[in-house]
Amino acid sequence: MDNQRRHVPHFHVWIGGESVATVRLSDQQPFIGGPLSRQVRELIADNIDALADAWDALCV
Amino acid sequence: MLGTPSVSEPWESRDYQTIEAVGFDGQLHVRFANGDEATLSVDRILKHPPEGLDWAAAESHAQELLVPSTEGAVDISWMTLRAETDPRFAEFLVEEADDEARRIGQRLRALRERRGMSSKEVAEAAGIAPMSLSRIELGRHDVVFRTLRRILAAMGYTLKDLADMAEPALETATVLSALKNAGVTSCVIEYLRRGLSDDAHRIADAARRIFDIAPDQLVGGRPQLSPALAQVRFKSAINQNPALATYTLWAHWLALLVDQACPREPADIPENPFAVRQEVLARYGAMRFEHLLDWCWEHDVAVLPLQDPGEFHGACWNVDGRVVIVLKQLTPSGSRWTFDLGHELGHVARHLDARTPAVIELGELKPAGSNDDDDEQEASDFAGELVLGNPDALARELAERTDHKLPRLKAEVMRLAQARDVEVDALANYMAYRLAAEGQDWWATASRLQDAEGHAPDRARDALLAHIDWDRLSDDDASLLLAALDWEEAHA
Repeated sequence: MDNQRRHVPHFHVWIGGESVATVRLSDQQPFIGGPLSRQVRELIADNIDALADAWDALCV
Repeated sequence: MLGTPSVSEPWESRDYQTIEAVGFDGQLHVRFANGDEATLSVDRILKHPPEGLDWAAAESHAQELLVPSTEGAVDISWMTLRAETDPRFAEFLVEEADDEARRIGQRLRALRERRGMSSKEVAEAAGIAPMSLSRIELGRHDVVFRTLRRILAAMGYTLKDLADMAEPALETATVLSALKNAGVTSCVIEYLRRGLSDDAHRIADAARRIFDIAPDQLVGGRPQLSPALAQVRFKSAINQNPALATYTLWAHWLALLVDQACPREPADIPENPFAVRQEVLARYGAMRFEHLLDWCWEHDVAVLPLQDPGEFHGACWNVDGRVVIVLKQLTPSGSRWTFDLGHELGHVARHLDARTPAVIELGELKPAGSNDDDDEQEASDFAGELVLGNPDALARELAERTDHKLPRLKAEVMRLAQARDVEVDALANYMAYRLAAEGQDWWATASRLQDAEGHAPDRARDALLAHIDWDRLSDDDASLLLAALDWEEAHA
């Protein structure tokens, strides 16, 4: 998670030791890197509330 | 003519993101894998720094920095460091943030209207001021996710509903059918399928990158090439033919990938065909396809071979100062590929510049005979001089030696080629074209004089593969480039 000022709420997807995509929280679409496999997309969808909580905790 | 939209921004590259080294002397010094160096003040990096942060002990770890503190290590991503030190990237992030705020606002409003609720009702149920909701729907207010979920919950929705509005359900068959309707040729659709494992989302993402077709258009069934592409300066003949337009976009996108994947080594390209010929002969002793190909790569001219039937016959692009030539010729004949490469080099020398960043070959490239277009004739003359020195003089000499009798031509072509130090197959080809323009068919004999050794497209592919640094491409882009080059699989 990053907490940059004036950024799209986002998170990084790390696979195999490197960040493969930077993904918007709002629609879970990559805006840098990607695309994401179906398995990763499902994993994100299942955890979206926790990710949103983490973003708010960093930013608010 | 085509413009040169970029294949991707620098921040898409892993080298741009990877932090190679870090140092601290009161300020943080960072070096990235692409060679960029940045110095930044640490008080700009963390909004809520933990106790006991030890910047001097910071370590680089791929795309993030690990900084120990008494509360545990803090991860700082490459984005944070780049946003503070690269104005273009910072601008990109701000634009993305603006787009995101607008997008969320539009979706919230659409969901509210779907429920038939007023903004006052939603604001009251969510416990926020109506003015705040209005500002959020207009995209003028960054919304924290706690508030966003309250607004969604007030309408009976979740974050998943918000996301589902953005991402239409995509089925592979629907996406492929829509691409076909947009005029994408079957061979390119096959590359997308094979290269991206029939994954609808990855294919849709590639369609956006290559053809600028948005995913929601793919659900609609009959997407149009976007207005943005209409502004790209095609020759009108290309615009009028969807298959040709989409294949040209595909080839152009591959050319951009090739430029991205092959490190540049800037070199001057001689504008005189005789100078190129002399360089090749001095270096390699003969004007064979593999020699001219090596000469091109040594002069930073990237050559991309394709083996698809139909559409255009070749192209050359000026990609931000680097030339990429696309050769698309189904014959394996080395002399034919030599001529075509020489022809494109002619365009590079005579016609390609900042105002004309591309030349697309719509018709067959003819060494001699009727080239309607002056530029095409000039490029063919360039190729003839490069490959044969003085083809007109050779043709005149052959006419004298044979006394204009066709049955004598084969033997005289072989003798003259040896005497004048030119390639037999190239001279035979040239004469066949010249005779065809005069209504005589000498192709069967010329074919028998072709060098049977080597397969020119394979040689061109080998040379390209030897120059590609695959780490410079994303996995999907690499897969698509490989699919386009795997003609054995495509033709199986």
